[in-house]
Amino acid sequence: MAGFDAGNIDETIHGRIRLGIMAYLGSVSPAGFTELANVLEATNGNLSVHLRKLEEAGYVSIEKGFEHRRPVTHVHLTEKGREAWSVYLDAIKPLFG
Amino acid sequence: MTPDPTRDDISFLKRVSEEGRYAPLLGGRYLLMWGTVITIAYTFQYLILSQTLAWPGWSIAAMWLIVMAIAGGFMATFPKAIRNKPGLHAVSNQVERWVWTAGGMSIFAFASGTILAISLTGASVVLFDMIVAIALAGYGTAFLVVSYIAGQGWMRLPAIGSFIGTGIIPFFAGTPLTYLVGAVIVFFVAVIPGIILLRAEPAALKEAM
Repeated sequence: MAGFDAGNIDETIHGRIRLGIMAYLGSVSPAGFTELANVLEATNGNLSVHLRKLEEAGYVSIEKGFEHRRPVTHVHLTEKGREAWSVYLDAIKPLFG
Repeated sequence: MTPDPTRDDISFLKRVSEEGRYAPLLGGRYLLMWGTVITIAYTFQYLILSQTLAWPGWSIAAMWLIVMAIAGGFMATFPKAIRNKPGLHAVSNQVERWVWTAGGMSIFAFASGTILAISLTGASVVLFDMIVAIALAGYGTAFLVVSYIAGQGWMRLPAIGSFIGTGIIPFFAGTPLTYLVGAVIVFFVAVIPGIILLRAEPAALKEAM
């Protein structure tokens, strides 16, 4: 595990659901709230808690609105979030050789 | 055997990443609709040009105006049909949307230029027939790019079919057969892939939160 430094791990991202959110948004941004909950197999409440933490860190932005009188929530990966995700992946890369 | 949480987390992460990377493509209804109207229009154009149908020459222009109006009507309803589908904003779906838009713009630009050149400078009407070849080149490019970006290897088949069509059309240019050959090719490279994509589309999600 040469080159791996646990101090470089971003604790905001490091966690099963939050990692999943960042991984999915890395390819699909924005993603619908229900879409994320389905992919991550997370409950709405659990997902909301994790999204709030990522939003507070500025890694995601949450856009609420209405489409054809139905409430919709879209989660965007911000530029700061994309950079943090990239740095995180670099930090864990040494673990996988 | 003891469960390994790290291995579980990595499997989970891999699955989530792949679901985003290889999100189902949502362009099936577009391909099916355009493929169907163009196959029908080319067939009628062949029947009119070959005088199998005794319709006047201007009926071809009228037919294409009707085709564009019908296609425009469908195009207006499609965004609503896919707006709650998972993966709508996936990279693969964005690339699919833009590469087909670029293909459509190429066809529109060439068709507009052809109409103007024939009307204003008396250019050869054979240029009309080459619109079919240009369109198929656009299809082939779109299929090849989307095949790569979405990991859909089978799309190389309609891509190859489209490129072969681009090469074949000049042999028929100047004859009504251009449109019969075009109709057959479009059926195989647009209608059938459109049905395949539409059948693979996931159900729409009900938004919450």
